[in-house]
Amino acid sequence: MSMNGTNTRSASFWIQAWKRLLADPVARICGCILAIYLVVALLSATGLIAKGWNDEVGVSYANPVFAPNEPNPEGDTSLIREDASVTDDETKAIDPLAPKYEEIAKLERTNADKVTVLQRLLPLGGDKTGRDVLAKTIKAGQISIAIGLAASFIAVFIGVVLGAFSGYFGGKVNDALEWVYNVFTSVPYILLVLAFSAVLGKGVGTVILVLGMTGWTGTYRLIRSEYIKHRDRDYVQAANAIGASHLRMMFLHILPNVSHLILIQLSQEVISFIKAEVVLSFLGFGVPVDLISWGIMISDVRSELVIGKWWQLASCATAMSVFVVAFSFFTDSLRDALDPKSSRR
Amino acid sequence: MKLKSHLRLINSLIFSFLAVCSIHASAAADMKKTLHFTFEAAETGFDPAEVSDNYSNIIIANIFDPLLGYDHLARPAKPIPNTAESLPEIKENGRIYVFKLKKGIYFADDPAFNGKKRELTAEDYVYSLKRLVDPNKNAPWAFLLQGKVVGLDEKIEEAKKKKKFDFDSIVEGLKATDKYTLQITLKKPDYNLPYIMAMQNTGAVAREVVEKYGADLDSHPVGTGPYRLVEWQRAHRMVLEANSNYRGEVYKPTTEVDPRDRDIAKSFEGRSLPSVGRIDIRVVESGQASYLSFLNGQIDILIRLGAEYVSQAAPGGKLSPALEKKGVKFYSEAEPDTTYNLFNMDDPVVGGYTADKVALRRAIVLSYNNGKLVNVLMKRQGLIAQSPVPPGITGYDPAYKNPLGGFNLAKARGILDAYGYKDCDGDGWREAPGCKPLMITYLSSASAGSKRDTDELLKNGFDKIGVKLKIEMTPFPDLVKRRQSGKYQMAGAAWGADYPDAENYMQLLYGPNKGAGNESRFDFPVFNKLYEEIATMPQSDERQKKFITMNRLVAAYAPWGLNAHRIRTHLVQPWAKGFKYHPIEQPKFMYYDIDLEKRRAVLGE
Amino acid sequence: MIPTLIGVVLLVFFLFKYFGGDPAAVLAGKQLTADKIAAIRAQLGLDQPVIVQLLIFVKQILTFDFGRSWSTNEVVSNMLVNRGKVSLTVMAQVWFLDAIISVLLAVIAAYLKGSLSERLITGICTAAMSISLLLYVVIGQYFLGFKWALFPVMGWSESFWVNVTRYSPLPVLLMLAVSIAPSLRLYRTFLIEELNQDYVRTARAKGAGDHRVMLVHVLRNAAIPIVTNIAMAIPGLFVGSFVIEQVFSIPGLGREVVLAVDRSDFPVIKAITVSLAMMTMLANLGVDLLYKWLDPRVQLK
Repeated sequence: MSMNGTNTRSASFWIQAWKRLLADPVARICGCILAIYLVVALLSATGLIAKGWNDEVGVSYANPVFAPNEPNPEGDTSLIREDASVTDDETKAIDPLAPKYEEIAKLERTNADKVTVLQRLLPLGGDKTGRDVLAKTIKAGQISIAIGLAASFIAVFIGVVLGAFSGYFGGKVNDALEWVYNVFTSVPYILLVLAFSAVLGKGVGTVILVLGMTGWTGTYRLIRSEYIKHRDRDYVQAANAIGASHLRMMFLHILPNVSHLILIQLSQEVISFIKAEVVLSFLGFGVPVDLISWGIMISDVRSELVIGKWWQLASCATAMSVFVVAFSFFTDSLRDALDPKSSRR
Repeated sequence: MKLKSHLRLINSLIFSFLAVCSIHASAAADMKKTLHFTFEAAETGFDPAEVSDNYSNIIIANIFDPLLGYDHLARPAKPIPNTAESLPEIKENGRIYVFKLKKGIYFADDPAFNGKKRELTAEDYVYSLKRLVDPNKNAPWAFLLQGKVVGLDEKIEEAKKKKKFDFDSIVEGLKATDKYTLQITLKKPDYNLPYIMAMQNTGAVAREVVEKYGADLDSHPVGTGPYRLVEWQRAHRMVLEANSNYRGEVYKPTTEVDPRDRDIAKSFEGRSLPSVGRIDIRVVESGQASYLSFLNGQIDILIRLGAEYVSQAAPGGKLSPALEKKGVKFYSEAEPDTTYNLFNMDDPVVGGYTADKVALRRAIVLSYNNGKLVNVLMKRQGLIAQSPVPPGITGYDPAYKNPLGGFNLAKARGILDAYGYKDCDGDGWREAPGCKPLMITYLSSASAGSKRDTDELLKNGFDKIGVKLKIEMTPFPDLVKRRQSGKYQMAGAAWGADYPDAENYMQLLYGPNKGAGNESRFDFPVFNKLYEEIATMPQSDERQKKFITMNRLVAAYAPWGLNAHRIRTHLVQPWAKGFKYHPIEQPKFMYYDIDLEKRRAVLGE
Repeated sequence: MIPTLIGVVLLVFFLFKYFGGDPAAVLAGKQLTADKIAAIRAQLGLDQPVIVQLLIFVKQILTFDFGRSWSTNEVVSNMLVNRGKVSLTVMAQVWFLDAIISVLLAVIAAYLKGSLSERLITGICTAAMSISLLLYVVIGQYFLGFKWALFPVMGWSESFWVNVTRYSPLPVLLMLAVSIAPSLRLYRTFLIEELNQDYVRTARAKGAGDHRVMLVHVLRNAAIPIVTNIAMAIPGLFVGSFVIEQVFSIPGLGREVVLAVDRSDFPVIKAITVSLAMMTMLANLGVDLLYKWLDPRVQLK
């Protein structure tokens, strides 16, 4: 154990870990699933697929191919168009645009849209405004995964650095950081969210920062308690005796010994941020209106279950659920691979 | 039991006898009957002069008595006497109003009255109306009287300076000429005053009660109405019980009853109001929870069913077979409210009255797909607004169609092209004339659980006509404030009628009301002049014509982009009777009744 | 403790002062005028200099009297007690059951590490938590509450027992579905980490039985992070879950917080924040004391 702390892990360690990972069937399956998600997300990010997620290609609640015969009165309703208006003479007399009526009428003809036929059947059905649920789910996945990953890196980074300092040094440093931590955790979450959103404006970046900057506290607390535990252990005392610097001991000696916790935390934070994004969306602090995320989808479709339009709810719930489960298991396997002692019982 | 005619007779003869009769009448309220009702949002309190939210007002409407009320069944809404003997006597062409009170009306018992019965007098109304304008309170209803009643504004100014409203000093335009007579003198004629005197917030409170409870008045609403508050768990549950001092009313239609309402009218025959002893009201914010609870039979009357569930309960406007079989009754009615998008007329980009500015607004209005709003987003729980004035109120003309409305992207693009809003730099977005940058900011507010579909619809339209739109999310209180102070370009808004007259809407566009109700800051001389005329005349063909001209001006200059009038759907259990949704008046529980045996039979308890 | 409170007070005060909305606009009703807003601001004391407002806030904390809610006029301390009680009724059950079940499952999982049963336990829990609570409540209310009528669709009563036996089981169940997996996974890691320590092998070598090692040594040492996690959840119990409270019409504090933020109701926000801060500090203190008791090697200052 003490040897592990003093030596930097060699390249062969990572090769060994990789081999162990490949040997684990769960890791292989989950890895494949995650790879598919990532490829799809990248394709969607580059605009190769799901580009037209915001286009209204179908009727309202267009049926999915696997339930083509469900009655869809909403679809018929959505085809009703508003009557064209008739401009009478009294209005013409007061309309400041009246002098250009003819010009406008001419330009109106050159500006007409192509007529598109709205689909009644879409692969995974349509949403309320007739958007393709499949494309929407893909685009939402891309955004949610990006948010989850980015936010979790920010949060874990902040948490690890602050936790390490606080746990390792104790004393004044600990007091100061505990103060920050206490202040942060004592303010209701929604108030922090409100404040961050007000400062940062609205956008995907804001959502990431809000999640990252409010979500570091769990990691901080864990890492701190680990450092408190480790700083008195023999290997640290030994390193101390040979005169290693504080930073070296914190990040080269102790950190590898808690790296599995960081990894788990990272994985868990990705999951919890993807889920927290749902809550943010529900509270009205989600991504802007020209983007979509799993959170927005979930908070929008809640009422669709009772009215029998279950496909959007099922699509986004399944997509999100599979991702979260695969991610969780993959992290477990990754930990087993990186921390071979854990299987040595 | 021809109770009402008895009451009339006795009223004019012996007054002590009536008290007996009153007790007799309210004894008819069956304390075994409990009606279950829900609010979709939390109430705030029950001081009529302090609260302005819809849900608190429902409670207030059932506890406090304004001078006038509305006929429960008559449509369009028709004022009838409530605590007044009759409709007011109108003098000097609508400048002076004289109300005569019924005698022998008593407040509900309260320790503030020291065990004595407390009779309602004209002074109570003088006091209550003065409370509405007290500048040292929130006074959300001050606008009803402020600037209108002779001598009142001076008192308000004085109260501002002294930090205390002097309720004892006499206001010329608001006084009790004898114990049962109230006289209101206005600065200029206003035929809408009776409507104001029918609003629940002008109901009578007793001064003793106000002075006894002070800041806690909120939780001690003591009125002369059919119910009193017996239990209040804030933001969760309110229980009302029949007021044993209530005078007892019998409903008699004042006009021909609509054939569809004959059953309801019949159920009132010989029934002394109120019938139900206890009203148990719960706050249920989740639409799914209240809908499912209704289906379970836990709720007797469910007003304002969430639009999502309407297509389930009544697909295509017809009650679903399952509910039909159960005997559930369903009411779908247009509510007198209008939703619209505001443009700030003082804004250098979207404001202004020159043709090029008007063109931009008109193009935006044409790009908003109202058909989709009403049919898809609102699930047909709405009508496309043709004029600012909603159906169900005086001044609404069902034949009037917006001459410049309709969703038309090609025309919107044509208008923008014609007035020089072109894409100069080839980025796919239009610039303002002269290739100046063009981006419009729309203020939106998101609260927990709210949807963003209307924002999406707006953005969609802007995208399609190539105009850049930024949607700025603001906390609701700030949104309201920025609209009021004109610090915005575009924002969403809605207005529900305070009283059933189109003037209530047109005042929102009257130039001098800038910074008050006029949030679009529309100030157009022709419109202003028309408003001044319609505000002081009784309804007539001439007045109606003026309303139509005003509608056309709004369409042409587009200070508002009109959206929709909401339709509300209400569900009533087979055992509940007497329900009809009133477009103006809050739900009055005294009209409702329940058949306990039928309920037992259906629910199998 | 005092510095933390000062920090919280300053943070909340300035956060709200500069980023919260202006409550006056909502209180003024439908027909707003600049005059009216100014008058209401004056009534609420918002026209006072910032430092005066801050001092008033400090005084409120010292006397623990936060006045009345701006939007509902309710005495704020009453509100805290009444709604906090309700949230606690639901959340304490969730907290307690979550702690027991997840620690138990974590011990089993750590014990059976690598076996099929372990994979099954973590698998089921992980799958359960992968769905958002937002969906759980909607689906749970519809199927368990309405369709199959196993639980009431919604509601809350005055009686504690009725609440515990009738109205809270479904919300508690749904919350446990999402809360167990994260705790379980975390605790399992702590336990496995301890199992890999040298002393475990030493103890085994000395002939201590598996059960004894697990129960006495491992559990005791892994208890530090586990207890931290459990104890730090306590302050949040009073705040409850907004989603649960809204969907099941439970009159708890979670709804009030969101409502207060929506309405810019500063007295309510102040009171909740300061109370939460105090409870968090107490929980911290408790955790530190527990550390000392559980692991004498930790030195308390």
